[in-house]
Amino acid sequence: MTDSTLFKQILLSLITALFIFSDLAAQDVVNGNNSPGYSNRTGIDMVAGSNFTTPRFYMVNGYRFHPQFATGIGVGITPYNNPLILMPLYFDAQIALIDRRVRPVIQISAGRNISINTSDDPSISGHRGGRFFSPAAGIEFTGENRAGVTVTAGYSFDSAQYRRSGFGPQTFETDLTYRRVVFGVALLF
Amino acid sequence: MTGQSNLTTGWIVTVIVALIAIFTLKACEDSRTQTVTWIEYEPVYMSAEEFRNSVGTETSKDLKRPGKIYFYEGYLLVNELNKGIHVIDNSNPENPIPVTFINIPASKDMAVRNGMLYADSHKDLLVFDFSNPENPHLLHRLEDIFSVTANMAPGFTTQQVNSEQGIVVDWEPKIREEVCEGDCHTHPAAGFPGFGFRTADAATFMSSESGGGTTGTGGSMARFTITGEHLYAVDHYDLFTFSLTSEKPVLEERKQVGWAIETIFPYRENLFIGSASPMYIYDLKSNPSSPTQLSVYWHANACDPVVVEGDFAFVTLRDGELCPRGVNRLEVIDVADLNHPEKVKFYEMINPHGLGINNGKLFVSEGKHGLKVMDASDPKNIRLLKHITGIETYDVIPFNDVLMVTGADGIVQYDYSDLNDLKELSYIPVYRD
Repeated sequence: MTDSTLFKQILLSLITALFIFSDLAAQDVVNGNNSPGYSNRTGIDMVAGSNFTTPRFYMVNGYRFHPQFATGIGVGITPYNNPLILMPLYFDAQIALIDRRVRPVIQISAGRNISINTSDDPSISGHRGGRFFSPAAGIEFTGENRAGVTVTAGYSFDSAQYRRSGFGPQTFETDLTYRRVVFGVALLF
Repeated sequence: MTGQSNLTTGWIVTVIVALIAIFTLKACEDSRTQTVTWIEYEPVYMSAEEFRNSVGTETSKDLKRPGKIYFYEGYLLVNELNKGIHVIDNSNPENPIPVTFINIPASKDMAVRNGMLYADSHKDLLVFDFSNPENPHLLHRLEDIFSVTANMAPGFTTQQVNSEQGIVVDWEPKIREEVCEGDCHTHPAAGFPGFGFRTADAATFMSSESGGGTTGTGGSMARFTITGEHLYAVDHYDLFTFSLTSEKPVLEERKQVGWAIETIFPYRENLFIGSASPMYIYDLKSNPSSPTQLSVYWHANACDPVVVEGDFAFVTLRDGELCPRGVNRLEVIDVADLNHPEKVKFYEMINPHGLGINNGKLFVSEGKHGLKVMDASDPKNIRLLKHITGIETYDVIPFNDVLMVTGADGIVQYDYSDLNDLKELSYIPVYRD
């Protein structure tokens, strides 16, 4: 079984379980705590790939326009260290599909990565971040005073590039593209 | 009823989203694509007949690829890399006047003594009557002298020189590119060390007047120098000694020095020879026809022109296209005891090229980073006085308070009589096609 197939099965199982649970739990009382106002989501994603898994820490600050819709600006850090750390700066939207305390949500994040070189290799002469895109789906558990927890699974696309000078007049431009599965948990405020 | 409908709709939507997410998992593979770009040099051939017949004097031309410079009795000679020599009347440095161009294919170096101009042309050494600098003419051609470097590319190449196609008079840089999934390990330029190939750079030296003759002033990256009645030239491995007692030079000795020899600088009765790794000191006093090695000073691998004044040698070491992973610094070496040269101090630089010194006034070309003017009256405590940016420099000649600077942008001259108030006298620009 390949890693990709394993991830697919894990994700399928997780999402199915979460959505069945959410469908049952969603028959709970109507949520009354997600009134419009400032929103904050701070969390950690495990960005899993076939080679290695790395965490991504992020924070989204924004505004909840509607009990089921919030947008914001997110910033995170993904220490791929290969040899770059990527810091996504992105626009984020979160949509709750129903208005319940336990409810399915969809999150979409899109933006650009800022790159940081963590290598002490002096031949690396330049680097830059590329696109960042990460859709995810999950369950949101909300409590009192807008506080809550979100558990999600999704997909992450990161790209970056770095340039290295070789012997003589040689340059190496390496394009890195990370297409990953992400599992995350976040706190809502 | 409506609430239940919303729940069902939400459930359906989430399942769709889940399916989309799962579908995208097909693309859950990292990818790493590497694009390697390098410059490969291709030889430019000329037929043997054209090569020989093309030597001659032409009307003055614009500078395009200025190389080494040489100053002789009011005339500034500027090598046009692999094309020939510009002769410029520099009797008034504020108004230099191009007077003629000597067409010499595959030429990089020159030196002048007593109205005789010596220049290389591929493997040959040419001798011109330069008594009238406005109308020099070829007197002699010594064939097949510099056999090693003549066919060397100035950088990486996969091209074999094919003598059946003619004589290599230049090398054209071509940009190559290869895209690899993962890392490029096997592209043609992989492992190209850079070392072992001569540079087209120039630098400065102060040549002497001795032996009753008049010689000029050249650069520290020069491969030709005249001292006494001898012309000394370095090839990739060898030191050539020519006697100049007669009109036609006589090759007296060819001596192996080392590897990747780059520059030669005469001082008093010694030669200081720069290479990609050590600096060699040779004695001329005992027998000028057969220089004797006195010592070898080892330094980091780097391109390294050298100049000497008093008891100290000044060596610039630089990282460069042909000296990759080198250091960028100015080293001061105590050469009071020529048998035991000893480093006394070094100064970090940006990318130093040629340098020149005159009475403690030190000028260092910093390549694309301009020119540094330094007070080296105390070599152990050299002070930066001025850093001129905005010009690309690689060779300087300080002479009689006039600093001649060459670089990719052209020739700039300064009055350095007051180091704290360097005045630009003139500028000869480069015109590229």
